[in-house]
Order: sequence, then structure tokens, then C-alpha cells
Amino acid sequence: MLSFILKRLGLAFLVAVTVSLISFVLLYLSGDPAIALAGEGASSEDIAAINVRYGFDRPMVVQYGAWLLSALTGDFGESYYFKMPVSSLLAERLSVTMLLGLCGISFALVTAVPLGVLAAMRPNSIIDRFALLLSVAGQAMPSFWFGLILVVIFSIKLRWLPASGSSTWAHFILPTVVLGYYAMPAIMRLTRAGMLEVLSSDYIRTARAKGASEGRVLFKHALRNAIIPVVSLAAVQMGFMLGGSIVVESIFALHGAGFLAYESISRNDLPTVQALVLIFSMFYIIFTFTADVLNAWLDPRMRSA
Amino acid sequence: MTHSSSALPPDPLLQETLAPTPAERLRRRVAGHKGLLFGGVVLGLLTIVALFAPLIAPHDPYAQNLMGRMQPPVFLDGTWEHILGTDHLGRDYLSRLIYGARISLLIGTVAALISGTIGTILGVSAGYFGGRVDAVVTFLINVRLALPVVLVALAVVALLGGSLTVVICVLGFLLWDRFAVVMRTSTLQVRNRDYVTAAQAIGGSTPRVILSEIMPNILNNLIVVITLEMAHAILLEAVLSFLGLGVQPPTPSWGLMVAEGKNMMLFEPWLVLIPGAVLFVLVLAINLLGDGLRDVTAPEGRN
Amino acid sequence: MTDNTQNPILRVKNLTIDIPTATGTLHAVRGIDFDLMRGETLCIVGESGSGKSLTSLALMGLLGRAIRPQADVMDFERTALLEASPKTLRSLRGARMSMIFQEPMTSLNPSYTIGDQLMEALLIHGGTSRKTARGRAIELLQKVGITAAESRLSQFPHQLSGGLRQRVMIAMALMCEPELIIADEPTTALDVTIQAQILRLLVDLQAEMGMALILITHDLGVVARIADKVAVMYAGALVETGPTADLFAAPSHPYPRGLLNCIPLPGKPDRCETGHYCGHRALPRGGGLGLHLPHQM
Repeated sequence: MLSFILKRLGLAFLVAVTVSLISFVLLYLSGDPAIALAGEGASSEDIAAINVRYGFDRPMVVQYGAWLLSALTGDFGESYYFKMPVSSLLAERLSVTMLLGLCGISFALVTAVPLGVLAAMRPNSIIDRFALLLSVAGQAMPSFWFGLILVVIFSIKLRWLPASGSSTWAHFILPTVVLGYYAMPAIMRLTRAGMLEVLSSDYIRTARAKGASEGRVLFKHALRNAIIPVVSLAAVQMGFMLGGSIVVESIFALHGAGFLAYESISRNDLPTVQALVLIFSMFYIIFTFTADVLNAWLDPRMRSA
Repeated sequence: MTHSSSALPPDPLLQETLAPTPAERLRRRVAGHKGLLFGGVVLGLLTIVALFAPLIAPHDPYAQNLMGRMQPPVFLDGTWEHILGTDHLGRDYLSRLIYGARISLLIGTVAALISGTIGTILGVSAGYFGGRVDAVVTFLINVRLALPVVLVALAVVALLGGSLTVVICVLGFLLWDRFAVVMRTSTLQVRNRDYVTAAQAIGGSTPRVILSEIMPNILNNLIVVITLEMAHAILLEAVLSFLGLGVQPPTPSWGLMVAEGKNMMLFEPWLVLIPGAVLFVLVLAINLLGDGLRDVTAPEGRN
Repeated sequence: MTDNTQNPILRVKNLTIDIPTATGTLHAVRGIDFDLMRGETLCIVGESGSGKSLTSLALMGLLGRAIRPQADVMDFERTALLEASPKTLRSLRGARMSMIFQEPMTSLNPSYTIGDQLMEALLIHGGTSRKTARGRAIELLQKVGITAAESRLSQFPHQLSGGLRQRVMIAMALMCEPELIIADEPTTALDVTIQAQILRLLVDLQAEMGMALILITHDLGVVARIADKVAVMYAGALVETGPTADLFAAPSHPYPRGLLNCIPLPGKPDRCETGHYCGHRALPRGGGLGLHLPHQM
């Protein structure tokens, strides 16, 4: 178990370093960042001044090293647009996104896992078909469109829920549904497939032969084994959801990190974009690492290995 | 073989011969798979619409008519002149949708081809050579998965400028991960089969073994992933365009049409509903086709 | 003998199992009869696919939703198994009748310790405390010949060899002191050297605890040594049933005759090759089961 964790940690570290390099290089895609920053029609003195101020005149490796070192201490530089440290911007915005992500993944799990279990208990039943329909529709549904439909129905026509903002819990309901529905189909399908496989296994027959009740068979013996891969998937989906928060937050005007990403991309605010790419990637790496460790702990065969 | 005792059941061999042939069974499976049929027919129809857009579209999708803005579709008391109404610049909505099919299908197809090529090369090499190659490819897949797709795509498109080519290339270079994962696993499964070993034993060169022994046997998985990633690329293009950082106006991208209709959503919800629904149906059709192909070509046909 | 022992513990008349498939109905078990007294051993022999395992699963009520067995009589003591409610069946399973399966490698839940799985049946049926259940688990592990029984309780199945796992399965089946044990080829998946040990263990425990045993097996040598009665199944039907001695002395049906010919004896020519009844591999998939296509009916 320990050697597995160390190996996995090493991989996570290498991936993190590579990702940081990629998010740094993103800055240079537009050509000269100083020109992008100074805007069109800037004089060459302006550009030279910017080069010196932001250190663009140094060799790229040095710039990367400096950027990475300060990033490690939580200093991502100053936002071009907001004229304040990127780190305080992030601190302000990330909480909303994290809350949204947690709500979204909880919604997805709470709907997808029971539905997957029910579908697996009765393959080809009405419930199974309903679950399949829901997941097929969910995979094809453009999330921005789904969000707008919900706004039309629940905010404009029925006036039940607010369409934008983040001041009360009611503001989070529609974004949670949109974000959660995005992650639901995959979790549902994996739960169903896992349960189907486990339910036909020999040890389930053993449990039944002991006289265990259906509920005991289902939850104690089957779900415990079927849920292991779902944990990994949920972590991956949670990572993807933070990326997906860009769309949801811009539809519902939630002022989280996703909306910040949208704002800073449209405004060419490169330090902020860089920091966000890095932060979102780090979250993904941390989630999947945690899920792998959790998985190893849940599965006795890996725990003792 | 004869049975001397009357107590024995009739010879089952006889009944085995009455079973349908494999080809017949495949045909029946395809005909009986509703999702596959629906997906195939819808995708086929939309492809025809996209190819023959100039012949089918009733109007010029770019022709503005500021006097006739936001006319409702015919089912909301509109006129047959503009069946699905007109947008905020008075352009015929149906014609824009028809030309939009070209954008979506073009982006989906080309992006899936680019990412398919990258992912297949990486995945097959990892599966076939194993060892260090596999370690490097697995690492690359991990790095790629750690990068948030929407964010990176938005940033790159914004930095390079949103043109059709840029969007296609960005998506193509971002979506190769699933190809690599699936092709790697499929190659691993096939690599040690007897016919591959036999081809290596008679001295077949590595590219030859890969092309003539490995590829044909993992092609069905590749086709399934192509369809799924096509749908993925189409959805992502719509997201980028919806956020205003993908294909630029006045190009009739469906995602862009939803974004343009968003401001009038309060009064004219159909401006948003119609292009989104078309996008939904296209992606649904491609996904169902992919799922169906997987079901039908899987060895046991699944349940 | 008392009255009680003269009544069979298990009575089966005309048990039929039909399996609906995509291409027609499979008559997997076709009208078999047998009785079993307390403490008696019945061996069911027959080739793969002849319906032996299905019969035992039907007795336990473990065939699943899609397959409905039918019988004129299928009684465990006074309980009509086919009419009993799921709740009644559950109260029998694991408590008064239990089963040992063919595959020790996959029949234990990988996520729970040996101890948890051993104690489960007792906790479900017995209403005993965990402490008592734990004591009983240790006692039975020792009985099935597992050393360091107490420390085994906290181990997981993957840490045990196949032979040990099958011993655990046997201990598990015995936890509630059942009156009937059904063992479905309990040694097929094990090494030859371990097979004999496990069988001996099973038979010894049976004698000690006075249980009735249904043993499904391929091994006629085992049958000759331990069975009171033998039932020979072929293609879903019982082709021969009776006391062991009678069967070995004068098999009336050609299939058991062929089976007996397959036992290699020193000094005798191997007649197995001439008899076609051994050649079940020559039969196509579904091994000798009558597959009735709808259009033939």
C-alpha cells in the first residue's frame, strides 16, 4: 500500500510539473505578451517598459523558474485587468466554485447511484429503460442549452428560482442540477454495469445461500464491491466539473473561478488565465490521487499489496 | 454417432444446424437495434442536409432584413415564408440552421480525424511496444487529462483568434485522450494472440504486423470512439461559440445562435430552444450510433 | 429408529426446470424424483450440463427470477419449498440447509474478512451475539483443519489458498448446524492432492453432526466409497437411481454402464474408448440438453 501511494505520488508530481510548464507556455501562444498587454498602438517605449516591469526580457527558462517558484508560495503575479494579486482573486472566487462542484457531484451521485442499482436489479425493466433514457439524453444535452431551458421554465415562467447571482442557497439549485446532470450519465452507467457484474458473481450466490435478505445482499455484499470503480470515476468527473463550471457560472452569473476564467480570457488577462489553468489541473490531480488511494484502501486486495 | 437407447433425447446436432448463420445474426441484430437505426438515419439525413445546404436552404443564411426581425416560426403564428422565423438581424432561421449543420459536422469530423490519428498512434505504440513507450504514453494521457479542456480550448482560441481552422485544430489536439486509452487497451488485448505471434515469427516487419494484424482487429473499437469523440467535439465547439470565443459571427454555428438568442430569451424562447434542440438531436444520433455499433460488433452482442 | 428418521428429510417428485432462451425453451431438468433420509448421503453423478447443479440450486431456491422450477412435490421436512414465501426460504437457507459451491476462489466476498463472512449466517439466523458467533467461527475453523484459526478471522479471502478457502466455505456452511448440506462438486477446482482431504473432511463432519448430504460429483470412486444412494443424471433426466451397491453391481441403463466402464482397472482393457457414452465432448454446446425450437412444436 505504501509503495503504491509513493509511486502514485511520484506520478502526480511529474504530471503537475508538466502541467505547470504547459500553462506557463500558454502565455506565449499569442506571440509577445508585452504587446498583448500594452494593447495595439503602444509605443516601443511602452513595450520596453512593460518588458522590464514584468520581466519578459529575461530568458524563458528563467521566467518559468521564477513563475513556478512564486506560484509555489501562492504568488501568481498581478492581474492585468483587476490590478490586484491573482492569489486574492482566486481566494475570493474559488469558494463559490468549490461549493458548486461539491453540490454538483453530490447531486450526480445521489441520483445516479440509486438509479444504477435499481436498473441493475431489474435489467430491461421500465426503470432500467428510464435510467438509460436519462443517461443517453444527458450525454447529448449541451449543458449551456439545458441551463437556459431551466432558466426559461423555473425562473421566467414559474418564477420559482432566481436566474442569476450567488447570494442565497436557492441561487445554487439550477447550477447544481445543470452541473450534476453533466456528470450523472457516466456514473449511472458504471454503477449499473458494476452491479450487474457483481450480482451475477459467485459470492452473491453464497450470500443468498446463507439466507441473507435481498437488502443485505444488495447493499452489504454487492454495492460495496460495485462502488469501488465509481469512486474513481466520481473524482475524475469532479475534476471535469470544475472545468465545466466555466459554462455554468457564465450562464447563471455565479461569480466563481469559472466565471473569472471566462472574464480573464475575454480580457486577455494572462496571469489570471495561467493561474486558473494551473489551479484547475492541480485540483484534478489531487482528486484523482485521493480517489486512487481511497480505492486502494476500499479494496482489501490492494490494501495489503 | 447413434444412440442405442430410446431413453436418450433427440440428437441436439440436428437442432444446431437450424440456428441462424453469424452473418444472418448480425443483420438481425442491426435491424433489431433501435438506437443504431435511429442514430444512423438521423445522422445520414443531417449529413445530406449539410452537403446540399445551398439547394435545400430557402434563403441566404447571411441576408439581413432589419425590417423583418424576430418573426416567429410558423407554429407560433409565423408565416411560411420563414418557417422557423427570423433572428435579431432578420436572417432566416431555418437557412441558418441548415448551414449550421455544415459547421457542426465539419468540425466534428475533422477534429475526430486529427485526434483519432494522434490518439491511435500513441495508443497502439503504447500497447504494442509496452515498456518505456507505454510509460511515456500513459504519462502523456495523464497530463492531458489533468488539463481542463474547456478552459484550455477557450484560452488558446482566444489567443490565436477564433476562426474555424483554429477551433478545429484546438479540438483535434485536445481530444485524443480517449483514443489513446481505448487503442492502448485494445492493442494490449490483441498483441499476444496467436496470429500476431505467427506474423512476427515469419518475419513480418513491425509496421506490417501493426497494420495488417493489429489494426483490423481493433478497428471496431476505433470506429466507436470516433463517433463518440465526434459528438464530443461538436458539443465543445458549441460551448466555445456560445461563450463567444469559438467560431465568430456571422457564421451560423448552432452554439452561436443559442448565444445570440439568449438576450431575447425572455420574450422569444424559441430563438434558444430551436438551435439547441437541433444540436441535441445531432449529438444524440451520433452517440446512439456509436453505442449501437459497439453493441452490434461486440463478440457476444451484449444483452 | 424413531418415526422421525423414517420420514425423509427431503422429498422430490417430478422436478422439472425449463429455461426460456432466445431460441426456445431449454428443458434442463425433466421430471426427476428422489428421497433423502436424515443422515443419508446421496451422490448425484452425471456429465457437465446434465442438470445436476440446476437441481441443487432449485432445492436451495437460488435459481433466480427468470427460471421457475416446477414439481409435484419438493418438500424439505414439512415445508413445500416451491410454495414457501421468500421469507420462509431465507429462514431455511444457511440455517437448516446450506450449500458448498464449486468455485472456492470466487465464492467468498473479496471485500470482507473471513471472520465477518463466517459469522454472517449465525448473526442472520441465530440472534446470537458477535462474541458467541466469533467463538463458533473459531471452533469450526479448527474443525475443518485450519491452523491459527483466530488470526485467520481477520484475513481476507485473497490471502488464502484455494484449499483453505474451500475449508472456509465448508465451515461457513456448518455454522448453523444444518440438517442438509448440498455440496456441488466441492473439490473440482482444487489440486488433486487436496481433493481427497476435503472430501474426507466433509464426510467425517457429516458423520459427526448427523447431517444429510447431497454430493454432486464426477468421481465414481468417491461415490462407491461414501454414497448410500446414487442418482445418475443424463441430459436432464434421472436415468438410474438406487442404493450404491445395486448400481455398481448391475447398472440397468446404458449410460451408467458406460460410466462404469470408464473406471480404469488394473489388468482390464480400457473399454472406455469403445463406449460412446463417455464421449460427451462430441456433443455440441449445451451438452446433451434437449433444445426445443419453437417452430418444432
